[in-house]
Parts: sequence; C-alpha cells; structure tokens
Amino acid sequence: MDTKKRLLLKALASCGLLTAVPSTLWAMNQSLVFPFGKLPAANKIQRVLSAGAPADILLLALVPEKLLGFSAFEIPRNNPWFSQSIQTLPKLGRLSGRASTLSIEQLLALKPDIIIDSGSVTDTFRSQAERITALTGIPYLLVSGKLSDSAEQIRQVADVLGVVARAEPLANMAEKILTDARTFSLTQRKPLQFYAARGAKGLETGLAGSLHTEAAELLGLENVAKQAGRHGLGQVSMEQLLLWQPDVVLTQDESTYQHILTNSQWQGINAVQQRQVLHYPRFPFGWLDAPPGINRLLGLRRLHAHFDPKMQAGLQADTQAFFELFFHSTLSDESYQQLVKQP
Amino acid sequence: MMMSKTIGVVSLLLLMSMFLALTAGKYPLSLGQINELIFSSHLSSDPRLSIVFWQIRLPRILAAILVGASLSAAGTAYQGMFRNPLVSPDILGVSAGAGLGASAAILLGLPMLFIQAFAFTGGITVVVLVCVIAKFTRRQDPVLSLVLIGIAIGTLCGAGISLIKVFADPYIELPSITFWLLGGLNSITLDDIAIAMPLIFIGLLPLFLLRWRMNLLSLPDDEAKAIGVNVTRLRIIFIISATLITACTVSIAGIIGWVGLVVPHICRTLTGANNQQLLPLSMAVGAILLLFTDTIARSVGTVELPLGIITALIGAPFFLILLMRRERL
Repeated sequence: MDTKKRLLLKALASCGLLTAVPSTLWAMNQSLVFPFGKLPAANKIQRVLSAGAPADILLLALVPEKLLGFSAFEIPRNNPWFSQSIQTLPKLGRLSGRASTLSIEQLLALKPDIIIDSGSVTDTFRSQAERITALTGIPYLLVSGKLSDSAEQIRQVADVLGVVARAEPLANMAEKILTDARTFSLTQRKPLQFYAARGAKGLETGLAGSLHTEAAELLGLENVAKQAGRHGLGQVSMEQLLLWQPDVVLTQDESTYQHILTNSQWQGINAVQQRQVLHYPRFPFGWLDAPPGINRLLGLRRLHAHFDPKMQAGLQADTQAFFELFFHSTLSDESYQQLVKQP
Repeated sequence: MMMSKTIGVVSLLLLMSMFLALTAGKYPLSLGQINELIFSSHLSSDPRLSIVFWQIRLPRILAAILVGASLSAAGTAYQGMFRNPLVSPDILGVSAGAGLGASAAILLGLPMLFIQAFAFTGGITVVVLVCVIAKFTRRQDPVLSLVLIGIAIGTLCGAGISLIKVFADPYIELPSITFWLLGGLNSITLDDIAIAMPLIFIGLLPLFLLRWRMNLLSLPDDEAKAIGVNVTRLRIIFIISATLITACTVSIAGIIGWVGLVVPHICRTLTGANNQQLLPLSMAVGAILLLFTDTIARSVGTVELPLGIITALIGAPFFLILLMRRERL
C-alpha cells in the first residue's frame, strides 16, 4: 500500500469515519510500521540493524544481505538447516532500553542506515525508539508484530526497505498459512483444548491471549489457561491441570518434555496418556514462540498439519519452501526429517 | 499455665490449617472421598483422585509445613545468634547463592533436579565462603564481620543473577528465572520432599537439642566465655545447621521471604526471648503461616500467585505494626 493511501486512511480514522469498515479490512490497511526520525530512501538503505529477536527473523527473510547480524541468535557453524552465509552472521546484542546488550557506541560503530524492531508497539517501545533516534540520529522503524498481521507486516517493511518484489512470495505464503489456519478453525465444532507447558516442571504457561500462544489460538485451539486481565506468563498447579484436562500439551524445551513424559503426576493428564504431548524444539528459532516473530508461521503450519491430514501430506514441501523463502536455505529431505523428528 | 494455653491454641490452629489445606484446592475432593483415599484399601474408581490427593495435595501440604517451620527455625537461630532482630535466614547470603545457582542451571536449560542441586550447592558455597573470609578479617566483633561479609557476598551473587538475567533468552529462560526467584510450592513433588526432608531434619536436630544454649549466644562473647561456653564452636554449629535447613528449603521452594524474619518476632511477643520455648513455637507458627498462605496461593484464581508475594504482602504490614508497637523487639 502506498504512503498516500495510508495517510488518507489515518486521516479518515482520526475523523471517526472508518467505524463502519469491517475490522478485517481495517487490519489490512492499517499501518503496522511506526517510523522515528527521517527514513532514508529505500535505495539508500544498505546496512540494517535488528533491535530484537522477532526483527532478526523478519529481516533475515527480507534483507539477509543487508542485515548486519542477529540481535539474539548465534547459529552454530555445523547447523544442518541453515546455509553457510546465515551461519556466519554475528550476534550483536539487542536494543531494549535498560536491558540492552548492544551499547550505543557499538551501535554507532556499526553505522546502520536504519534500525528495525518488531513486536509490541506500546508507548514504552515508542519512547525507547524515539530516544535512540534522538541520541544517534539513526532512523528507527518500530513494527507491530502480531502473528495474524504477518503478511501485511512483511509487505509494509518491504516497502520501506525497497524489496517489494522479493517480499511478495513471502507475504503470499504467510497469507496462505494464516488463511488455511482460519479456515481450519471454522471447521472445528468443538475446539480442541491445549496447554502450553514451559519451565522445568511444565507448570509455567502462556496465558490465553498472550503472544506465546497466539499461533495455537489462531488455529482455533482453545487455551485452557485463562485469567481475565492477564495475557502474559503465569504459574499453575498440577491440580488445576488435572481439572482442565487439555487435549494436547505443547512443549518446546527438552527438559519440560521429558519431565511431562516421565513424572507420575503428569500421567493423570489424558493428553499424556494418549501421547498428545507435542515437542517442537528450537532450531534455534522456536516454532510457536521464542521469539514471537514470523518464525511462528512455520510452527502454525506444523501444528495445523498435526490435526489436519490434508495439511500433513504437504508439510514437508511447505517447510522446505518456507526455509527457501524465509531463511534462504535449502532443506534437504534428510535435513527435514532431522528437523521434525520427535526425540 | 500461659505456655500450655499457647501450645493448645497453636496446635489447634495447625490442625485447622491442615484440615483447610486438605479440603481446599482446584480439584473437587469431598470429605468422603478423602476419607476413602486414606482409609480404604481398594482403589478408587477414578485414579486421578488418588494422584490429586497423594501426589499433589499432600506433598504440597507437607512441603508448606516443612518449609515454614524450617525458615522460622533458621530465622530464630540467626536472630538469637547475631543478637539482631532484623536478621533473616538469608543474612549470610544463602538465598542469594542458591538463586545464583538456580539461575545458572535454568540458563543452561537443565532439568529440575539439577536446578535444585545447583541451588543447594550455591547456597552452601556462599555461606562457607562467608565463614572463611570472616576467619581472615581482623575486626574485633566476629558477629558483625559475618553479617557484613554476608551482605557483601550476597550482593555479589545478586549481581551474578542480574548478569545471567541479561544473557537469558527473554522469551524462555528469563521468565523461569523470575518465577524461581519469587518462590512457590506449585511444582513440589514427593521426590523433592524425600530428598530435602532428611537433610532438613539433620539441620533441625542440633538447633532443637541445643536451643537453650542459643540464649547464651545472646550474651556478649566475653560473658558467655566467662561461664564456660565455647562460643565459636556453638556459633559454627548453629550456622551450619541453619544454613543446611535454609539451603534445602530454598532449593525446593525458591526464595520465600518474610517468614523467617517475622515469625520469630510474632512468637517473641507470646513467649519472650527464651529460645527454649521460642524455637518450637516459631516452627509451629511458621508452619501455620506458610500453610495458610499457600492455601490462598493455590485457591485464588486459575493462575497461581507466587508464594513469596503473598508472604511479603502479609508479613510486611504485620512487621510494621509490630515495629510501631515496639513491644519486645
């Protein structure tokens, strides 16, 4: 979408004229990017700095050759899933207010043309972006990172970075994964209930509506851990879990997964008895979370395939295509098997 | 007379909190079902009831009693030993050391048993370090040296924890570290208790048997020595015992604040400063307080409130009231 159209939509929105527009259409047209400082012309952007883990994945997909490094990842040299050029990207540290691990001096020494961050766009993050731009003079682009907006997010950032043509197949794939998931969610008469286990004993969880469980919820699965007014992480008791009896338990850490399989308390959970404990370990990007970036699209597809035989048939091809498009790496059949095999 | 009345009231309160804790919980268990689970030999039709009662609720109640009593005993011992009412079980840095150990284990993605072992080792190591350094300091007052070194090493561990938090993955390890440091009994299992309980008893035994000698440590060192007490040896025994107890509780329940600080104060208003009565009473009251707060923690809302927060919410105002009354503090 061009800038003029976006400005017009913003102006209309501020006059309250868009209240009648359906919300889905509104999401498509809404600006997901918030620039701070004067953004350079797209053809002038040669060095891009990622401020956090979700932006790492987004920029790896869109501009791998301009990305100065990852903020949060260091892909091991012998990682079988990523191409050589991606394995050599250095880990630079994150920009996150007082929890930053990249200093402003290091940041200046890297001479980026633009800094990009993706995720939450609350006033805290906006003011942080504003401060860094004011201090360094480097323009900063904050991107709203909701999973459901992935396609539009890819398009809008591509617009700023001048890689619209390259981004189109990515956005289309994102759109397809999301649309398929929504369609699947509509076919579910009684939604399956899931619990996202975290922590060494599996008793930490992402609450309903949190970014940690967004992918599974988009698929129409119902998060058992609901607490009004809270959308972050929480601790629950085993007693509560026995009462909830989720149909499926999602894990991403080996220690969590092993504990659930072997601990006697967990054997009272139907999902454990019926071997519905899914383990999607990080590679090093998480499938459904960690980080909450567009990597979750792949996790969403994998989870969808778990429940939908139609999707299962095409999962390998989809995963290979995703790796090609988003990670610029060729995933051989053998590597794919390694990637998805359950331990 | 006064004492026996206190014992009666405290025992009654303990029984009442145990009854409350047994019957309260997310999973509905009727009194009849509980009765059947305890006394009937035939297996219940729903195996889940047995898991809820024997593997979840009962261990948790046991843990609350054990941790509450232990922290209060350690607090009483330290307060007597250091002649200071503001001392809590973590004064020599045991919690900070345990926190550092646990955070490191979580950062490395280790399973629970290792997290607990790291926490235990971290807590013990810090206290040993404090004692060794205290031996080399030339300050006149050995008690003050210990406290100051404890604070310094504790701060150092705090810095270590912060460093680990900075390097931890903000989406995975950081929340786990935060939850661990807040303390709680939501993930207690029978195995945890089986490992911690013998060690806690080993620590409690000397405290309990030598509790009347704790009174002697509240005298200035010269006076205590004049009546023939080996102050240094006694102090070392108490430090080892209280450290062992605290390290065990912290490694299974995380850092639960305020219990070890406030409970001895509450009890001192009831029995006076004589450790002969104060120690057992503190242990009973500590058990009641933690059992009660944990029952709240697991009954309110679907998501648990960390226990450390509830004990602080109850403990801090209570402590302030006591301070304002200035009675026998």
